Amino acid sequence: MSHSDVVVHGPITGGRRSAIARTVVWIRHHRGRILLHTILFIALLIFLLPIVWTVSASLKGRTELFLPVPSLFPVQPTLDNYVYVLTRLKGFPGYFGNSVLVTGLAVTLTVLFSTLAGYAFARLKFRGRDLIYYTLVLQTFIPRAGGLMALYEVMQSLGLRDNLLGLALLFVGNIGVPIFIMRQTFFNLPGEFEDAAQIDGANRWQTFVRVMAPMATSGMILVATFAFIYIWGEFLITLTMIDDPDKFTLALGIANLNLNNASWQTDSEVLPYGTQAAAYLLAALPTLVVFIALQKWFVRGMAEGLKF
Amino acid sequence: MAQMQRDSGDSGLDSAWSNWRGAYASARHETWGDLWGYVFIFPAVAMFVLFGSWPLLRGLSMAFTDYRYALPDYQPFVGFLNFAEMAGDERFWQAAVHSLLFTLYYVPPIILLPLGLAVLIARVRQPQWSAIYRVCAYLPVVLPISVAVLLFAELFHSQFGYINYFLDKVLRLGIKPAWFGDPALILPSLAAASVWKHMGTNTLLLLVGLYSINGELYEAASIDGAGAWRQFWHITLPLLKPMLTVVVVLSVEVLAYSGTQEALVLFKGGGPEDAAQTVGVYAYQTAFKMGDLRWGYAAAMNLALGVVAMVLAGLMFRALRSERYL
Repeated sequence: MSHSDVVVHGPITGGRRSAIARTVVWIRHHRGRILLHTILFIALLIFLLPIVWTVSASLKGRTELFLPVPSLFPVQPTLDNYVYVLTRLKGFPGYFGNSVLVTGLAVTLTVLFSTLAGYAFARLKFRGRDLIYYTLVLQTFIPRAGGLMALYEVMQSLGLRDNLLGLALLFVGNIGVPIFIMRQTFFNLPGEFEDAAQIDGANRWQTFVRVMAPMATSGMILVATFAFIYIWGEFLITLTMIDDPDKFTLALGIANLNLNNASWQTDSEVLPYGTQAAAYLLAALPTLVVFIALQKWFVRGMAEGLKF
Repeated sequence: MAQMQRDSGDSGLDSAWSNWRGAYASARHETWGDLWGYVFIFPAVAMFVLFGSWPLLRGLSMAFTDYRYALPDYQPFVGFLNFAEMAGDERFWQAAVHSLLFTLYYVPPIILLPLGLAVLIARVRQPQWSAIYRVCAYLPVVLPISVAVLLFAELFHSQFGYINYFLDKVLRLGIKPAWFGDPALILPSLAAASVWKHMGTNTLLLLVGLYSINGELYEAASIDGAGAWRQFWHITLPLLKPMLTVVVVLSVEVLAYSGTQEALVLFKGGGPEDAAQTVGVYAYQTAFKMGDLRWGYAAAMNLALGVVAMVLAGLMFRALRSERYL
């Protein structure tokens, strides 16, 4: 029985009273649901308060930030903080470009390599296939001890340290979960298309590129989304591998914003507090956009037992 | 083939191990088969070995040497000496206490808050609304860790933050705690920031568990006159136990990291009076900031903490699995 079928008993005599009466009946009928949504709304508002507050602070100018009674929502919203970050904040455009370069390259390679490997592990038959695969799986259970130092050493000896392309390659090494996802995706595809392509004389490579890979886009989107969000926000490895401030990514750069300059007190129409807020939000914007656009894949991925 | 589909993902160490042994035994008498396979897996496996397997093994072996990076070619094998040194290192013990406190502040809320939130969201019947709630609950997880911590610190800013305004002026408590600036409050504040950043994962995992519970059980229970609380206690909790076990085990493993990234984002080290110096932070400073850059000692500290965290998680797993519900 659907809760949305509201049945009003008794004669409806028209006019204001019956409208009120109907509303009262509707509220009574949906008491539980209204209460549930109210609780959830308040709980999530409190939960998202750090984001709400920062959005609000980023839209406040100098005068409003100095008001003795701060408002949760800005009274005279201004984009001054964003303009300042995008045009005058030292380093910000560079950090953004570095993040785009590293994330773009690493995500592309992760999707490409994991698709190839996932296809082979799921569909091709060759000696030691399962042995190699389960060795990869087993490795995820070993605790990581000196991983950061050992990575430093590898990167140093390859001449890839303090190098953005090297950093991107290092992130591609995080390809365990992507391989699992792509193997699963290819397992779940029907085999007939593959057989048909083989009969038509296509070789392995052609079968993969023209027939199988296009059918695995759902897995690729999932892999790309996970990889994008992880790499865009990665902090500890980037901190260890990159020394040159000109090569900082956004995740690293915004933790090093130097806004506590004395001249802020008098000269500027914006304040460090508001400008920081704008910079943080701009740094997070790409992951938020990607996540919200592709959110349905996340829950599906979680439901299939994959951890983020 | 169908059986193999099931066991990818996180089916546990036991089944991974038995699958590996099965594959090892059969690999001997397999034919070479389709050689394209090796071409296809090569790039991924090469990256995995170079930036995954090798650093992992190398890092483990480092823990048994007195590797000092600043000294050229100095990495003598010392067996368990690093661990003996740890036992007498006061800073290490202080850091271990900080890690433990962080874990104690972190674990209860990161299980209970997602449980409450997930139970509420699971009751929402309209798919479009539950999707919106799920996105909101998961949102902090996708933020870059540095952004998440800085946003949280912005809200708790002693001068401009809304929390202190609320405590001081709305509730009229007349206090303005420094939160991330006060050594006594740093660990709880960092743990709170960390819970906020990560609890979405648990919420989503518990929701997956809740969605798989048969709704007819609740209908039957309410016909029998069981109220919401008894339904939660006698249906939801027992049936959610497998997923709850996963959540508890994953949450306890935080001990191995315990706020390292959060502290490095905010303080680039241990913070005021080193109050945020957990083992992870201390190991990072030992390896990359202090003196001879003692990589061996730092690796040993990480390994010790990682093993303790694994044992703790294993004990939790045993306890939850064997304990009979009520």
